[in-house]
Amino acid sequence: MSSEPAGGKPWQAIRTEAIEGILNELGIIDSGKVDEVVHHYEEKVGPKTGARVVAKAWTDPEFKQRLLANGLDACAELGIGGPETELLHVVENTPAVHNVVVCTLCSCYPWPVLGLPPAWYKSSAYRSRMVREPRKVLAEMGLALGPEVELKVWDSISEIRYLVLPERPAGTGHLSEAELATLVTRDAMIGVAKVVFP
Amino acid sequence: VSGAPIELLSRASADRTVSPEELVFETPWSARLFGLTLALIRAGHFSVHEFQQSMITEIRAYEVMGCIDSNATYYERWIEALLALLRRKGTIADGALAAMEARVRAATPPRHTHDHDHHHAPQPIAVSR
Repeated sequence: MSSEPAGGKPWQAIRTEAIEGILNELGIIDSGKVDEVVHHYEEKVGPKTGARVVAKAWTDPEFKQRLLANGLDACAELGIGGPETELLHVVENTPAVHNVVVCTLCSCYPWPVLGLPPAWYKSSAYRSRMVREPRKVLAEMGLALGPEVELKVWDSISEIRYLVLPERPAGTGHLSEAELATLVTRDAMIGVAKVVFP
Repeated sequence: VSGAPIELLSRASADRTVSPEELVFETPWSARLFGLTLALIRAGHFSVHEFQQSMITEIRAYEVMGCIDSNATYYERWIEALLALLRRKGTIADGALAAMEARVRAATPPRHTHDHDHHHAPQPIAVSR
């Protein structure tokens, strides 16, 4: 992966700086706006954002109904959202149905709710194999589904982004919403894992 | 081309850091690239959909022969997709990129040569002498 010339920056850094430099000089963008976005995604948004949504849905049935009806509007109630997502479709896991999300053509992902996707989500292997042999891929990632479970694979194409609402694990009746949120992982909200309670 | 076990990919990414969920960008340039693209979208220079189409075209062309198997190979496609879109819109003219890259290189001091990027190591955006 190293393409860094001796004593210099990698070509990717040079090219990115050059693009930003041109746009700066043209007055199209100012670096402060870029800083804002980077700061927002490094500090404010990530899997914990989505975990708040899931925990709220687990503890508030009316919120859950609103979330399943219109994901973005429900997230906005929690102050979550951004201009980068136009439609958020929330799909609910049950004992009979498991949902998993992929973007076959590129790497679409609900950025304002989950932050940036992991490397494997963007990989050629995941994007092609999750459609061809989803059960096998899930098993390789540590999630073995019984044959009785219906598996739905959602392709993030066009303007729609998906968020998986995982099953609330058994034995968590006594936990608060905030405690529940700490159990929810990024992988569970993509659908390649279940939420577990130790 | 794309038949690699996913397990290897997720394990590889977990190995690189104690907390993979906390590391948003592996390199400063990928953070900058993402921020730049979203800033352009927020400013209305192009839409999410337009950028997505450019990514699809770029990734499809790349995957004829190659394979996206890391954050680096992915964000390299992103650079090319952003450039292609800005060229199509007439924002970046032919020749402008090479000229600006030369200026960036000239302004970049030599630094020590590890074979990896430091995570979020502070770097000057430009150096004037």
